[in-house]
Amino acid sequence: MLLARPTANIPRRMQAAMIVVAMAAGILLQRLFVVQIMEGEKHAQSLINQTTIPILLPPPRGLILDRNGMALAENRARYDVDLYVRELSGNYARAHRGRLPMTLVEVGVGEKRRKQKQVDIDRIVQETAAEPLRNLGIQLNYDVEELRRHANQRPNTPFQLATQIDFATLSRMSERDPRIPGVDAAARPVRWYPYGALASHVLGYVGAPEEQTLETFQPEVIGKEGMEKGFNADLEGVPGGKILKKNNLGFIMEEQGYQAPQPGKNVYLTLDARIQTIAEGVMRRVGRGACVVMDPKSGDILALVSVPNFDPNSFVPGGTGERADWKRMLGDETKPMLNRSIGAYAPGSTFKTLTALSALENPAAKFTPQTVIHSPGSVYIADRWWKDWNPDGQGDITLKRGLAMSCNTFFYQLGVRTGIDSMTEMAKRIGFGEKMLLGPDGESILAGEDPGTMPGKKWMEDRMAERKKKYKEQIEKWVADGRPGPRPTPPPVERWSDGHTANTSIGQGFVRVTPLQMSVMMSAVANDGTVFRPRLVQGVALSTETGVKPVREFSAAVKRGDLGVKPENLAAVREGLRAVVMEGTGKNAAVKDVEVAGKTGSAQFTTRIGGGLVKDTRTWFTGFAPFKDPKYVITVIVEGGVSGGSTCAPLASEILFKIFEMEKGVPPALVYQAPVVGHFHGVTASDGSYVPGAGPTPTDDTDGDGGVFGGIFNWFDEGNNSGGGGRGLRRNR
Amino acid sequence: MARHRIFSGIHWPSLFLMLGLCTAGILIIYSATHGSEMADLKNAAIQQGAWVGLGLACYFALAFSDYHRWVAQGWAWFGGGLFLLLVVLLFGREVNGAKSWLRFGPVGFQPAEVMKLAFLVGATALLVTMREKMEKFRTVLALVGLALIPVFLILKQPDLGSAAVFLPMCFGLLFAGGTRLRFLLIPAGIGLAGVLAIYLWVGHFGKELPFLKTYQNNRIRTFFDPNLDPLGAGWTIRQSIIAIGSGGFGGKGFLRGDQNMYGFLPKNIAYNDFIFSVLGEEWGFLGGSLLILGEAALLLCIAWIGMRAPDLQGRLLAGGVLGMLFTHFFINVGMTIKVVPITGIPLPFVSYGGTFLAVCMAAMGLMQSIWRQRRLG
Repeated sequence: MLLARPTANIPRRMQAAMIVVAMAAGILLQRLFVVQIMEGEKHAQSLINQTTIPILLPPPRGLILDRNGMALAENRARYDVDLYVRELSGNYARAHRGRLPMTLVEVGVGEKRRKQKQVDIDRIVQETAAEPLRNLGIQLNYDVEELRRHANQRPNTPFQLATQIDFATLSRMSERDPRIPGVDAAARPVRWYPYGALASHVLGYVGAPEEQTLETFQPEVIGKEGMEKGFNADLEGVPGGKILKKNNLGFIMEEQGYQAPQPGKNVYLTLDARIQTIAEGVMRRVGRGACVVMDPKSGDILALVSVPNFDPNSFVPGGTGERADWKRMLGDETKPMLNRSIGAYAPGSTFKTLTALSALENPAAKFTPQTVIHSPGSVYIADRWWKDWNPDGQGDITLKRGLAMSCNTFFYQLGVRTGIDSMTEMAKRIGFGEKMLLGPDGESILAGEDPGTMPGKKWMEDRMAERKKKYKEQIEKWVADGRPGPRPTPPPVERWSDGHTANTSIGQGFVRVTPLQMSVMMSAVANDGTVFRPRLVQGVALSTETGVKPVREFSAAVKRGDLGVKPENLAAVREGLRAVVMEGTGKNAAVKDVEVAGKTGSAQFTTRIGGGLVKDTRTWFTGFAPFKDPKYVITVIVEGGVSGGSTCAPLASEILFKIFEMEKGVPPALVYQAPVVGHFHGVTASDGSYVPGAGPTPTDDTDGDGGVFGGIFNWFDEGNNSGGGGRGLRRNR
Repeated sequence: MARHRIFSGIHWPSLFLMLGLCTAGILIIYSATHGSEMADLKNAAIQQGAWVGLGLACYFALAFSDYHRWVAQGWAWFGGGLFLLLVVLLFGREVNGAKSWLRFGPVGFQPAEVMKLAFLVGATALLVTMREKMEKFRTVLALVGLALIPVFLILKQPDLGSAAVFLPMCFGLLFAGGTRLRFLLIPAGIGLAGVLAIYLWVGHFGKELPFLKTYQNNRIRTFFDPNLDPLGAGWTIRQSIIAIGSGGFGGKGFLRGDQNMYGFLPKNIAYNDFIFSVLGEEWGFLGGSLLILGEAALLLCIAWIGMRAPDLQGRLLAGGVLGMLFTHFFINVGMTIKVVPITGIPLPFVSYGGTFLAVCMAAMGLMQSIWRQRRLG
């Protein structure tokens, strides 16, 4: 054995030692290869992560301007104390030998709600930052829960420990730098709506983005409604950034590269802030309603009003306005967030204008402005009697008188005479039953637009097919479930009848029109038959030092089609509408020194308020002025009004009056607008006690909608109740 | 003529490898400390240069002496080393919680490092007197008993890393001296099995060792997974890996190590125990592997010299030096890339630290002395 000869085995042992040395070197080399070559990228990334702080510089949001260049949404500077969570807690950890205070925090929602151990960031802030900041006169006004959530979900973006510190405090802070790593003063642009609630439904509002996105750049706010949402991509701009190098204590050593943020693009609206102010000022008086003012020669929307409304400043996160009371806003049954100007309503007698247009356009109807139709107190159509609002009727009358007095029996007969197909065709030319605020690619420009409903034979067939399909599914489910309960009853089968036609011809039953659609129809009547696409946005432009560079433009006066009604016949319709204001149901719309034409309307509705069903009449006025050379089309709708003539016509009159005063050089004062508070006053007064501000007494109620087939449905079930009509009433009872 | 004769016996590869490593050490120390404001660090590279000079003096003094003389005086050196250890325990300066420094004016040194050399010659003397009983187990016990005296004193400082090196030195001495292999392999096997068991128990299954405190258990666990406590116990190893890993193949270049510059690799250890991390970051895989190969080549030279040693004294000295330097090399480099747990011992010839550098160079001088008297053929 080797062991027996100690001296002889030494060279072998040294050789073995050499092998061990070589193997050890091999192990180290192999491991070094893994760390540096195979995992090198990963470690290099870790190094970048821990030595650099990427700071994203949010771009200022683009402006939203009216047609005269007045900014309706802009930015203003706000000074905050920012906290970079990772810097502060990392530094704290090192100062305390890696020991961070922990706390139990409830996370998750519903069943997944559980307690989770988290770093007590609040305590760290209180221990490190609160005292020095207090010495500078800065009171921390953050919400502890919000801080915890932020630290957990968005540790890379700054959290505002204190917002809206004044400039003096800011200068003091930069002079006597408290040197808390991760705590810094920052000036940031925040959204500001200089006119408060003005055009709030058009502008929308901004809010904090949803938490979960893992994008590299997370803007502090994104558009949540209206233009802010629809044009968010344009308004947002491109963030800039800089990279800071920090050492192990979190101190910034140097700055690497700086890229200035690119401001967002501006959105130019067609709205005229002055007209918007006038219309909102007048509409403030009603609890719930909407108003559209449009240029009939171009389709430009000059004012788009919906009341009640809201102050978008109150939604800006950390903004400078009053904070919105969310619970109150969401629980408010008057729905201040709802844009009523693009909501669908039963049009009532205003729809008679369309019935007249269809009959004049349809040769088969054999109807001219001179055609006399005997209009008694009631007519017999489709096995029942259809009453006029005036039990004596209007006698032998032509179109002019029929429109002026809003005679139901005249239009029942006219509707049946021209037929539903002709009316559907005319509605299609105008765009009833379709969304109107569309961009060039057919995308919706303003969220929340209701297409409305234009019924017809095809529409009825589709509806029955849908009903059948639903019933089939119901039966299948009934069979599959082992037949619990009684077999579902088959749905009633409805077919389009003259009764439906008659009902539609006076704007009752299934038909639903938005105030915007009504304005488009009235514009076409006013401008001799051209149907324009309504325009709300003129374009998007980038404002730079060298000037304004258009990015996208939405052309003015885009023709959608023609009414196809002979000019002389159209003139006769206009005459009729003029007669409405001169001697008919719309006398209250008259304006001194200006010839106004238009049509009133009202549709009886039943609303559920606080559990009880109440009458909630929707009243309309739609018209144009001046009569000879129309410059403005106006549509006013009021929920819970008495009648179009008594409730809406005076409002339209006042708005038009003020617009023409403005043209004469008396513009309204553009001031900060407090939000309009909604109410149900008109509803409780369905017994006749409601006296609107400037309107005459309800005894003048002569819109011609004497309670025939009022569209009755449950307001809060609107989404499910595509059928509308009287069915809802029967079901509810 | 005489001059030529003297130098003709020199083992040139080991000399140049040593000088190369020392030069690399000064450069990396400069990189690890430049721009630092701390007094200890500011002049570290220059001080290291001075110590290299002193080390070379020791080297040549020993190289041209007869190593038998030192073994003959072995007991005296061993006694002197123990005396210094006692002095440092009584009058030493406490640095970082350990009493390991003796200072005379501006010059300070660590007796524990000197003891390594003193133990080497002392142990060699012991084994030479017991050469007839080399295959007996009591020789092993005697050597380990001898080692335990300085180990005990060093642990009192406390300096676990330095104390631990005496064990592999004993291993090297016995191995080269010709003890029975089973006396070495069985304890080594038990040790390895123990490490494996701890790994499985603590690192893999996440259990705790009952005889250790929680924080000690955590330290073991952290070694196996530094991410468990990235800001606390795992900080250094994690930062070391990031530094080396981010160096990639070619490194970031001299004086370009962010990890080191920005202080993520703690400044007070980057230039000594974690010098390899600085090297790995700035010189990449190229520099790192070159250093490993250089250190390994030097160790091979020592083994080669041991193989050619004319007598037992020479072999024992070579075995002891090999055991010491190999342990330092493998543990130091290994801990920076997570092959072994973190233990505070320096990298021979490269790490900052004058006493150890001089001791290593003196040890190489002894090797040179052996080579000059080597067996031919």
